[in-house]
Amino acid sequence: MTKLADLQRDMQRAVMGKSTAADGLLAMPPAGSPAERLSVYRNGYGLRLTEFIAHDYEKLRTYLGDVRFNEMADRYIHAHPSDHPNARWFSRHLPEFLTTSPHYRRQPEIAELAHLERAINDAFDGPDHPIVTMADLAAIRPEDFVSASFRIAPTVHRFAVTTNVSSLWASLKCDEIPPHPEDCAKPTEIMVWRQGSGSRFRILGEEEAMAIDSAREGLSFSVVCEMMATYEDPDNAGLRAAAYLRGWIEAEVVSAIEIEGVEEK
Amino acid sequence: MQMRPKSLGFGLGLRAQHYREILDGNPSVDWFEVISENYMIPGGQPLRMLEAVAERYPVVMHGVSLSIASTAPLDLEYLKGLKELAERVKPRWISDHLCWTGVHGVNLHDLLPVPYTEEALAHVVSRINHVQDYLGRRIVIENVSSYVEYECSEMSEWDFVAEIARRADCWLLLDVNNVFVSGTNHAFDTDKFLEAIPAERVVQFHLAGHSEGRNCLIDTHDQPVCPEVWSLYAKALERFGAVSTMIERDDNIPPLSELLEELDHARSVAAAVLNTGVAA
Repeated sequence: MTKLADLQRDMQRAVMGKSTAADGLLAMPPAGSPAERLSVYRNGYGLRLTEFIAHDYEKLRTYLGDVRFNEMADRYIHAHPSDHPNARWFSRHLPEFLTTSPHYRRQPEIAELAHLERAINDAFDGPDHPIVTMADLAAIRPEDFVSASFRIAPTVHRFAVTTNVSSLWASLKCDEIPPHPEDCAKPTEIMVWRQGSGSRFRILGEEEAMAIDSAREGLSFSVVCEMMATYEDPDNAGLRAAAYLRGWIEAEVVSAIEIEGVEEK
Repeated sequence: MQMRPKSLGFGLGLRAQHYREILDGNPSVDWFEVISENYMIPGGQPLRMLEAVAERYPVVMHGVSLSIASTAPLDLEYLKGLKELAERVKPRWISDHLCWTGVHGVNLHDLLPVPYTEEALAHVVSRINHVQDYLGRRIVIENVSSYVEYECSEMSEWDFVAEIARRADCWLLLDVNNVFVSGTNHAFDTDKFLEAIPAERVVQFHLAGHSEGRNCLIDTHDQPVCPEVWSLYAKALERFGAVSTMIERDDNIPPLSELLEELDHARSVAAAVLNTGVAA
């Protein structure tokens, strides 16, 4: 290792609080001590990374309160030092960290709130994509509908939650006192997406969740309808599927119509 | 040597809080500086806003993560993203800091100072050359604020910065506030700093505010520019002439109108020093 590499290794350890001082590294300043000057970087390190997390997980911060949030941030910073040059991605491991951390896993709504906020952020600046309109849908020839599949936009995030996290989020957004966290009897399906310039989310019924997941996998619309016919009221599966499709198009979550491998839009 | 780019006039940092006001009102700002990393994202509204601003105003890109002085390998993914953004935005120039931000796979998200040694000089020059070759353009390097100096330094910061510019054949962004902050923190003569910097290399000035820490000043960019920095800016104008000037505000961001007033003050300081009547 070169002297410069040694210096950077030692300085980094000191800034991250892994060594008490960068002994012999720093010159005596005209005022104060080397340790005091080093503390500007050391304090700044924790404060800055905590700010990044607070920026990305605003509702979680409100939910936990400053003291508990800062404690959580310290633990995350320690477990996941930033490995990305862009601060935008520093906090991306937080939902998983909260799911597995012994400090938080007994309160699953904490990880689920983080998961929801992350999905909202990821939808906000996710990849741009074309938007299919109702006019595009109307232009499909009836005989092509059998093989048509509807590509779901890359800004759509799908997951299931086991707590009343959507109610928690909604209360926090309105600056209301959030309800008590509750476990749901069965998982609740959530879809997060981008519409216009902002992110949205809503709860999906079990059937619609299956339908959009199948569409995301590239299954044709007719196959999705057949799968829906295995749910309740098979005779009206086609009508229900059409209603879902209309809703997705109006919400700007369909990015292309593909017919027999030929992309029309 | 290639002539330095003509002054763009008086600019501001583009901040999300002001998008709408800028796009609706066409404020009297000559150009905008954008934080590169804020737009090195897949898509969505921030990029749309940036493109809309770039259609109306000259834009320069200012990065915080190039880590030009790091002994870690250059991050090629980062450079690829930077180049892609530049192709999209067509900035007048691309700048980053004379610092390192981490080693061994860690990013500290801070601008750590470099020891002013021959070894570091050669290392940084070689890295700037690589980056300039990759981007196909001369880059702009900024002096940082610092709170520590290394025992092993062999020369002054100003000699180091000047030599970097000459050997790497890059441009310089002179952050006037950083000169003031570091000058106070390390008790050096800020005039000496200005005198040592090769005038033909300076393409941009930064003006910003700072805070008082314990026994040192801290470069927080959350305050208006202070009188001492305005005085130093006047000296910088005397030495370097008309140079693209911008006010950098990253925290405690005020309404756009306040920043426009501050920018008007920069215009009047420049007009007085350069005797231009209306500063450009």
